[in-house]
Amino acid sequence: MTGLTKLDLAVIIAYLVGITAFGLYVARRVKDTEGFFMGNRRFGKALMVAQALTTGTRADYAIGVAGASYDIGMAGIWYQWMYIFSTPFFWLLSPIFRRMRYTTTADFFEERFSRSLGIAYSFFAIYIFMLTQGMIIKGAATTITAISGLPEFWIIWGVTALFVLFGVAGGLVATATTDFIQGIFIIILSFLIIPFGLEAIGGFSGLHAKLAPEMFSLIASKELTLFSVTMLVVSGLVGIIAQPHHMAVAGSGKTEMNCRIGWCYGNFIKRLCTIGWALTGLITAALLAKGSLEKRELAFGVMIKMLLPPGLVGLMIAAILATVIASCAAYMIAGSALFTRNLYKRYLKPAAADAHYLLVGRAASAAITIGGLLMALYMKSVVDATVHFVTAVAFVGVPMWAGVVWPRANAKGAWASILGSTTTYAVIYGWYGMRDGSQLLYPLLVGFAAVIVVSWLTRPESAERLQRFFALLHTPVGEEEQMERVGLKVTLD
Amino acid sequence: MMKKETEMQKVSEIVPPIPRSRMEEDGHGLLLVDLLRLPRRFSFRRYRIDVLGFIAAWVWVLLILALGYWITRIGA
Repeated sequence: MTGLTKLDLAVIIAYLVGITAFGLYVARRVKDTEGFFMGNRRFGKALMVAQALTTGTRADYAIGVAGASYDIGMAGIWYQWMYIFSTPFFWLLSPIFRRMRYTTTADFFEERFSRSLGIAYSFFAIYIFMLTQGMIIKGAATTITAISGLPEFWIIWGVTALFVLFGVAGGLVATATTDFIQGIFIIILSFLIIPFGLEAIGGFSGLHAKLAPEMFSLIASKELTLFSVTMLVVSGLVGIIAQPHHMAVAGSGKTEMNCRIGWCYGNFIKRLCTIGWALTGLITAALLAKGSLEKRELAFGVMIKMLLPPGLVGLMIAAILATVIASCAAYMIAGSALFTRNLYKRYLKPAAADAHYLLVGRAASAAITIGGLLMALYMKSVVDATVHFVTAVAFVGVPMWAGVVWPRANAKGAWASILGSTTTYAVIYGWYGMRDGSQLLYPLLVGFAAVIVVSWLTRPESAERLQRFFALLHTPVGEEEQMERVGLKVTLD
Repeated sequence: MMKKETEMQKVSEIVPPIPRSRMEEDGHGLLLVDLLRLPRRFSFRRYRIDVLGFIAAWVWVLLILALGYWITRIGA
């Protein structure tokens, strides 16, 4: 009835029971909000690598890259390799996140610029978290439906219930600890199909015999041209700093070195996995005639069903569930931290006990997830949502880069940048319908110009605000005494 | 007991002096934070960890790109 053998079902159930039990066991150690949201900033190098790999690696990425590579060839890899040139910058950025000592990126906007920008970013980030969760759930549910034949509606509900239970109970400690296991599953997901596929088509030489040479080019003649790839790379670099979950992912290490190694090399492993996803797309193109799939994103699920023996199909579904649980739980917790600390605690109930905020954090986690669930249920296209995500975070990334690099950047400049780039995008993309990369280039140019010009023409932020912010950036963790000695606040209230 | 003096530094014309970090002087300086002052301030000793790690990361980028290209050439 499900299209799955008993062995497949046993593998899936064993995985789900095991991972949930482990999460609940770890959750017993979570007693306060710092532990729930930031893992008490005690993650070692291996845990940081695992966390960076799994929160940044999602089943819908694999599905998107495999689908694009099936359609346009190896160039489809750029839907994820757009971040490969940003990855060395993670080495430089992670100690910045660590030294800021903030829990959320909204803290950055509030402390560096203004309260209004902090609030605006909180709402923006909560929306992004819900959107992202919707994309993840929808992408995984589509693939599992293609494999198992089970109704997508029930898969969406089932997956959501699972990661809510997991994340609400354990917080970041639980999700990050189980990421060790999830990381292994992700690598399995990326490379499991390839040997079976190569055997079916007669190895790499068979692959070349069946496909046109241009399918192996890293630059495509349509969709992902050199210009559009360049713009994706630039947008990836600009936006990477403003992605809402990165404050927790990059800043929760025990030391600056742990943060650097974890974030940078966790993402390098992901870039390696991407090669596996693209190769899967090429194998699909060699095995199936072009146009034989209703949607190209079905390529990954169809290959699983066609190539893998019983038991391994179950393992693959478990691997997809692993990525959904790891990513969605991390996004849910980060969104909950934003709501609890940046909106509820600051503006609604400033002086409650920590246990109260923990309760609110858990309730907010569930509420944000319901938003993600609704988006998954009503979302039309995962691909459009992904492009929308990349664009939006890039526009918010412009003032954030300016705020770190340039003391003169101020709140008025930041607002001008966000509004200027968003408006330009609306005109270019919405009105003129540009899709070739220009819809990213011009808004970014306007955004950078606006933050520079408006900040020059208006007064800088107060000396006290700038002193506190840049003192944090120049004070490594462990040297707080220096700041306190001259009367500077080290952490937020 | 004598109170310990905190050494201060100036990072910008519009930012009041902030405490000087011994760790920053000894390799933990941040390239991006000091980006606009680098022509006057750069020294390998101050930014050692940033510089070495950044170079190593670019080597990894090149290796991964080469691996991706090499895989497409197997069997061609």
